[in-house]
Amino acid sequence: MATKLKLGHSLCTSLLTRVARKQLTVRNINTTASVFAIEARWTAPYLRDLAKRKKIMEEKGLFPQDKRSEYIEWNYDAELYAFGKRLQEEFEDEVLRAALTDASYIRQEIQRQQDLGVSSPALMMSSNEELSDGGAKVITDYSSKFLRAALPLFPEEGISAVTEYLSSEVVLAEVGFGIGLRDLILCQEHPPAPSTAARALQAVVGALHASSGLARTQAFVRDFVLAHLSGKDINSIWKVEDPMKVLSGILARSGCGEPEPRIIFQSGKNTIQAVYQVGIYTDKNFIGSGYGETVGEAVEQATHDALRRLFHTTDSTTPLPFGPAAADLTLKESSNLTLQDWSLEKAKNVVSC
Amino acid sequence: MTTKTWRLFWGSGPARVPLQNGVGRYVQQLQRITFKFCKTHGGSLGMREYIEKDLVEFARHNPGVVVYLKPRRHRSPCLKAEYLNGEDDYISTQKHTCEDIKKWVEYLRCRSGYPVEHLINYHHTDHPSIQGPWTPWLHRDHKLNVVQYPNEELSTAHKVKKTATEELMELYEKQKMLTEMEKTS
Repeated sequence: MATKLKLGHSLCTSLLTRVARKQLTVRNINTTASVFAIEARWTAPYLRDLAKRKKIMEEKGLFPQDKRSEYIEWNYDAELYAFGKRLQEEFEDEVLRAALTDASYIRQEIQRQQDLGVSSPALMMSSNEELSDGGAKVITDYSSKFLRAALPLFPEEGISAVTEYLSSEVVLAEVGFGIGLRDLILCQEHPPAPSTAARALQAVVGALHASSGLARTQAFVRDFVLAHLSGKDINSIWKVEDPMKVLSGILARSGCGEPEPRIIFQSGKNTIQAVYQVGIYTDKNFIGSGYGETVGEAVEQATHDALRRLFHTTDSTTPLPFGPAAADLTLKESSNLTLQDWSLEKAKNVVSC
Repeated sequence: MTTKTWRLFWGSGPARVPLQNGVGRYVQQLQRITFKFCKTHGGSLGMREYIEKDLVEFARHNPGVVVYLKPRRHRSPCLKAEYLNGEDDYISTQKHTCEDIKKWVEYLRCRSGYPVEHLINYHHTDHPSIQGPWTPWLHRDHKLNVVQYPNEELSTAHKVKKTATEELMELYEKQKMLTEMEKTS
């Protein structure tokens, strides 16, 4: 009787049935609660525990997620058409399909056919390996040329570090998921791993190159991959190691005196809130300043500041050109000055040309 | 609903944009929308009318949105929108008129996919100051750099108000001037 009651209890049970049942019930621990449509006292803790277990499973990635493509309302052709339209690009259908097919998917399909007894599985599909190689090349090539043109005084080491950051798996996967590749990639695992998404994005770039030419592809890379740098500090992506050595090298090559750190202001000396402001001077000319809790820290910050001022990457520098401003930018093929060669004389030539 | 309640249950934050949208080009964030409805039930009347009259135009104007129609027998109608950031939104349109549905579709079309929050700021920047942080030494008088300490002038107490004696003296001087002026005239 108790089980019958438990099954029957719900919020929508009408009062009449509840009263009728009450008359029939044998009183037990759940009776009062269930006849008045109140959950039993173990229900809430039970659901709470289930929720907790679900959360743990989700954190470990063990909780099965629905594949969007397995829903009844799914049309891959329409999705691919909308994908191109959404990004305002024209893709060739065959190439885009290849770009979104991971090699693992083809392997899986062949295995499935073999398991079903097909001796020589025939699959008219090609994977995105070639396209992704091509796309990766376009991304690195264009990023470095764009950055060289936008930051002409930034050393070549920095340019390659930022380019490497932009073509890293994390950034590319974020961009790939952000333009809706999550549901479109055909791959073995679900949800697609970041490495798969990164490869697919590179392949999409490669597919665009094959479909619409280099100029459109470069615009695509600029708008989606390079735009990742907007609002980011370029100096935190590439940090100069041993800045004092670098700075004195640059000054020596420029015919200036040794950099001389001097305390400009200090406060709270010998206390927990000590703060020093140090300026860097060369031939009695101010070239940068920084703050620190100790003199050593302040000198390091000041040296970084002096280098930022030399490389024109301070906080107040003009932002990178995106949108209409990027159209006027002439890409720079030749590499920037390296840290070994960087001097004020050579930098002057860079600015004037 | 008060602001406090909204913040408690729905959260708050600055205006956000997914994936630097608009820095390069604008990408519509709604990726697919599903119209679920019943072909015979009265609750879906408005939805059916919308599908007959306005849906084709909507699809034509938004080629980046995949539109699905899902007829379900004797189930209430609803709209399900999916966004590029993986979020989805569900709106029940039981007994809604065609005009209501049109407005809800427009609402879903323009959203970013982030939850509707109480906006604490209409703008946001990761670099609040391009001039660097303020310090106690900013805009300090340069004369102070060459002062020899201990300095008598800088060591005296900073006067904020006039003393009572000074005020009395001032009054006395004023009175004296007035009497002199009267005498001369």
